Amino acid sequence: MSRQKDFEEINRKIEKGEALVLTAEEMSDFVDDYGEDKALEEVDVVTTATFGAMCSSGAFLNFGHTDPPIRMSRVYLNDVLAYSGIAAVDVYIGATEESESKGSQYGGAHVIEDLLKGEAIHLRATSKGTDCYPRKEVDTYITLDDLNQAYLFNPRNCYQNYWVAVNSSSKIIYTYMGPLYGNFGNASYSSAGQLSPLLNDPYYKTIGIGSRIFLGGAQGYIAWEGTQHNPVRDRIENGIPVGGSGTLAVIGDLKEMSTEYLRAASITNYGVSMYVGIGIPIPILNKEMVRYTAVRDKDIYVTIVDYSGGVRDNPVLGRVNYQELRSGKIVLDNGLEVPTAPLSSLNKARKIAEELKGWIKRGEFLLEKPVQKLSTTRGFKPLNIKKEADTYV
Amino acid sequence: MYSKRVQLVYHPNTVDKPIIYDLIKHFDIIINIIQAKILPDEEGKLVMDMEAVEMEYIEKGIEYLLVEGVEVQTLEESVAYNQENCIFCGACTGLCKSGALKMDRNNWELIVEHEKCLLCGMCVTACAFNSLTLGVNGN
Repeated sequence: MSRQKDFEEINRKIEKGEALVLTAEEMSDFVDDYGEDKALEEVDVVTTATFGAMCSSGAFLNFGHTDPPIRMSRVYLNDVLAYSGIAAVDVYIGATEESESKGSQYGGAHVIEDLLKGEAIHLRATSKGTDCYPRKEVDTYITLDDLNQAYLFNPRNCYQNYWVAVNSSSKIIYTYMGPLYGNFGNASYSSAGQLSPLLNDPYYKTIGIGSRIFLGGAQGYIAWEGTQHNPVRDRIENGIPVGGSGTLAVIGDLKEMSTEYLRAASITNYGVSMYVGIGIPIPILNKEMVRYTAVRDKDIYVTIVDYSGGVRDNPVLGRVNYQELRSGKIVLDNGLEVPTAPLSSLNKARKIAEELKGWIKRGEFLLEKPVQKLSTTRGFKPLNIKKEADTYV
Repeated sequence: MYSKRVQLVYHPNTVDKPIIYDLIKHFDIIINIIQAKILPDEEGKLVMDMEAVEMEYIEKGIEYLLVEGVEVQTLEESVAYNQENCIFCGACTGLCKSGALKMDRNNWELIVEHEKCLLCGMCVTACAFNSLTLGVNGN
C-alpha cells in the first residue's frame, strides 16, 4: 500500500515552516514533471481558489442596544431591507436585496462592501414597542467598528462546476450569466476550472464541515453543506461532475475581510449579487489526492445549456472542457463557432491561491480536519406546485 | 486635420433631410459613420466621426445640425476603463464584437484597445462593477 499522510503530520510540517505548498495549477505541472510518487512524498498542501458571483451570501449583524431599547422589527440599511425576524437588534442583510430608492444599482452586497470600506451606513428601524423594549423608532448611522458582531454567513457558495450559458432565441436576453446575444452570439461560463476548490477534491475526501478556509480575505470555515448541494450530478471517469453539483455554506468574520476579495455586483436586468473570494487548502494525504489535485482544464468537462426558454431544466446542447472555454471560442455540435467569456475572475482566484499558500508557508494557517463529511448521496428536489396541502395519516 | 466623434439623435420628424450630404457638400466635412440606427417614425441614432481642415468647419456643421433639429452629443473616442474597479472577470469580452476588449491569456487581466472601440456600449451593460463607461458630452 502506498504512503498515507494525515492532517497532524502535515500541520507539524506547517508549524515548523517546512511544508511544501503549491497552488493547484503548480501541482499539475509538478505531477507531470516528477510523477505521482514524488508528488505524494514532497507536496503537503495544494491551494485552490475561486472568485465569482455567489448570490446566496449575506451577513449577520448585531447593532447593540439604544437606551431606551428597541426590538427592531423592520430594518433598513442605506434603504436596503435587512431581515430582522430574529432577536431585538440582530439582522441578516442578504446580498441580493435591492435598495428601495436605488433599485438594482445598490443592494445588500453594496451595504456589506460599504461596511468593509469603513463607510457610515444609514440605519432605520421601527418596532411596535413592548414593555421591555419601549422605543418604536431608530434613525442613526453605524460603521463596521460600531457593530458587536458582523459575520458573513453564506448559505451557498463555491459551486462545484457550473454551466455554459448560450441563447438560441433570436433576441438578446439578460441573465445571471450576463447578457446573451441571440442566435448563439456568445457563451459565458463561471468556474475557476483547474483551480476551483471542489473540482480538486471531487468526492469531498478532505473538504468538509469544519474545514478552515480563506473567505473574503480572512480565515473562515465551512459551516455546512451548501443549499442545493447536489453531489449525484452526472460525473465523468475522473470524478468531475459535468454541471453545478456540490456547494458549501461558509462562515467568517466580516470585520477581518477586505473589499479586494468581496465585491458587490449589479448585473444588468437581473439584479444585485456578490462576488466572493474563497480559497481552500487540500492536504495531499495519499495518491488519490495527488491525482485529484493534478486535474487540468482539459479534463474538466461542463455542460452547455440554452438559457432562452426561462425554464427550470434548460435544454442541453453538448459538453466542452475548460481548456476550450479558456481559448476564447468553442464550436457547438451544430458547427457554430461561439465566442466565450468567463464571469468568474481567474486573475483574482490565482491571487487568492497564492495568498493562502503564503499564509500556510508562514505557519499562519493550519489545516483543520473536517468534523463531518459532506454528503455524497443527497439529491436535489424541485418545488412542485400543488392545489392543496397533502395530508398524511 | 481636426476631428470630433458625435452621436446624432434624430426625432421622428427630422429624418427627411439629406443632412449627411449637406455636411459633406456645404461644410467640407469628411464623415465616417460608425454606427447607425434610423427607422421610420422612430427616434434614430447615428454615431460618426467628423473630420475637417479647420475646427470651424466642424463647429459650423454642428450648428447646422442643431438648426435642423438634430440633437448632437459629443462622444469620447472610446469606452472609458477604470482598472481600479475591475475584477478582471472578462464578462465584457464576450459581448465585444469590435475586438477592443480581450483577456490577456497569461495573467487574465483585461486588455483594452481603445482604437478598435465602436462605442456600441454592450460592455457597459455586461460590466457588473461600473468599470466601463461611455462618456457623452465629456461626462
